[in-house]
Amino acid sequence: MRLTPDFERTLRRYVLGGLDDDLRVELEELLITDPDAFEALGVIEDELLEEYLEKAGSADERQSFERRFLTSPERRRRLGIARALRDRASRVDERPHGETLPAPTSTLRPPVWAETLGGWTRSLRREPAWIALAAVLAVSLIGNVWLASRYHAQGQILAATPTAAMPPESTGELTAQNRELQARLGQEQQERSKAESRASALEAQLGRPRTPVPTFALAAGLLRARGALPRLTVPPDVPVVRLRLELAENAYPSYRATLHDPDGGEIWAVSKLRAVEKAEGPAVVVAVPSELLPRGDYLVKLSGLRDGAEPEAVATYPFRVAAP
Amino acid sequence: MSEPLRPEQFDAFLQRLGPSRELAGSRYEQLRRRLMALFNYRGCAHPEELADETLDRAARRLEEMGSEFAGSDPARFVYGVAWNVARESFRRLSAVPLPEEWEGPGPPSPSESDGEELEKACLDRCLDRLAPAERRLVLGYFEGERSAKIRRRSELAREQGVSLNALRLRIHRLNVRLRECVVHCMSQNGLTGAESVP
Repeated sequence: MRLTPDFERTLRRYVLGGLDDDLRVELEELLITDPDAFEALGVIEDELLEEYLEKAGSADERQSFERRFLTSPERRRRLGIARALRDRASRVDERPHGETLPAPTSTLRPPVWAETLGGWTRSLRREPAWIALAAVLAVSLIGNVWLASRYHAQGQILAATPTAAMPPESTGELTAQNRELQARLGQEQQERSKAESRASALEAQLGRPRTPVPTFALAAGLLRARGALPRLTVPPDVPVVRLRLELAENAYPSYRATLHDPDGGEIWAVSKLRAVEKAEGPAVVVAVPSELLPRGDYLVKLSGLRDGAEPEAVATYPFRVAAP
Repeated sequence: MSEPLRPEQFDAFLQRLGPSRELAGSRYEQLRRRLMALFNYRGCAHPEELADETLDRAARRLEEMGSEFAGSDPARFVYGVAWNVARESFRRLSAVPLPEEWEGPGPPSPSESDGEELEKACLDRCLDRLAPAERRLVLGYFEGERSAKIRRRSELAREQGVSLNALRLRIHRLNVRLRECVVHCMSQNGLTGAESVP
C-alpha cells in the first residue's frame, strides 16, 4: 500500500466520512497498528486543512470537513496554526532584504555554506563592530565555498584539493573546516538517504498484503446436524471478525445487531447496518472485535429498523467459538 | 471510573511494547496519539481520557493473560480494546445525569480567536528555532497559490533530491514539530497577548 492515489482517496474518505463500515474497520486497525499508515493520514489531514483554507473542493467536502474533522478545539487550533503558517509564508517576499534567506531558484540543493555566509553577512550589516572579524572569517568561508563547490561538482575528496601555496596556519584551519564541512555534507546525505529509505519503506508497506479479516457466514437460527452449533475458529492476532448474517429478505432500510452470551446478557451492539445484496442472497455483515469472542457460545440477534418505529426482531444466529 | 494502573502493571505493559524503557515509552506515546485520533474520528467525547482508559485496560488484560497472550503485536490487542471503550463511551454519554448543583454553563472561556496574535508570535518563534534549511523549506512549501505552488513544490522536491511524496512526509513532520512547539509556547504564555512571548 503506497501513498498511491487509491490509498490517498481512501484516507480522504475516512477523514471526510465517506467510508463504508467494513473498510473503515480495516483502515482503523491499520492506523492503530502501523505508524507509517498513521503518518500518511497526518499528511492527508494537513493537505485537507490547506485545501479548506484555500476554499478548494466542493461545498459538500468543506461541510464534511467541518462536521467530521473540525470538531475539537485541538483540531481548530491546528487549522489556526496552518492559517498562520500560510500567512507567514506569503509574507516572505515582503520581509526586508536579509531578514529571510531567499528561496533557492537553482535546481541544485544549495550548499551548506550559503546559509552560513548569509547569516554572517546579515550580522555584518547589523553589527559594524564585528566587520573586521567577520571579514576574516568570510574569507575563510569563501575558501570553503570554493572547496565545497569542487566537492559537489567533481565528487572529489576535499583533502585532495591543492593547498600547498597557502600558509601552514591557513592550511590547518581550512583543513579542519573542510573536515567539518565534509562531516556535515556526509550527515546531510545520510539524513536524506534515511528519509528516502523511510519513504520507500512506507510505500512498500502501503502496498503489502494485509492479514485478511475472516468472514463467517451464519444462517438464521440454524443448528447443524445433531444439534451442534456452527463453529467459528478465530485466528489469533486478528482484531476483528466479520459475521455474515444471512437474511431471507431485505425488508428494512437498516438493522441493529446485538451479541449475547449464553445467559442472554448483551455483550455488544451495533446499529445503522445496511443489508448487502449478493448472489447468495441478502445479508447483513457485522465486524465484531475478536476480543469479545473468547471460546464459548454466543447468539446474535438481528432487528430491523424503520424511521420512528421500534426495532423489530428479524432473526437470531447462534454460534460457538472454538479454540484455534 | 476504573482504578488507576499499578506501577508494576504499567511496567509490564511497557516491556511488551519495546525492549528498552525509552523505546517502549515512545511507542506508548505514539499509540496514545493514534488512539486519540481514532476516538476523535469516531466522534467520542474526551478522546484523551478514552485513550488512557484503553491503554490502562489493555495493560490490565495483558497482565491477566500473562503468557497466554499469543499475539506478536500488543497494538492489535489495544485496537480490540479500543472498540469496547468507544462503545461504552457512547452508552455513558446517554446515561450521565447532570449534577444536582449544576447551574448552567459557566462564563465563556477566552475564545479561540483571542489567541490568534499569540499564535502568530509563537509560530514566528518556533520557526526561528528550526534549522535555517528547514525553515526555508517549510516556508517555501507554503508559498504561492494554486498552480504556482504546485510548480514550486516540484522544484523543492528536485532541490531536496527526493520524490514529491517524500517531500510531503518531510513537510508533515516539520508541521508536527511546529504545531507541538506552538501549542507548548501558547500554553506557557497563556492567552495574554503577543508581547508576552519571550
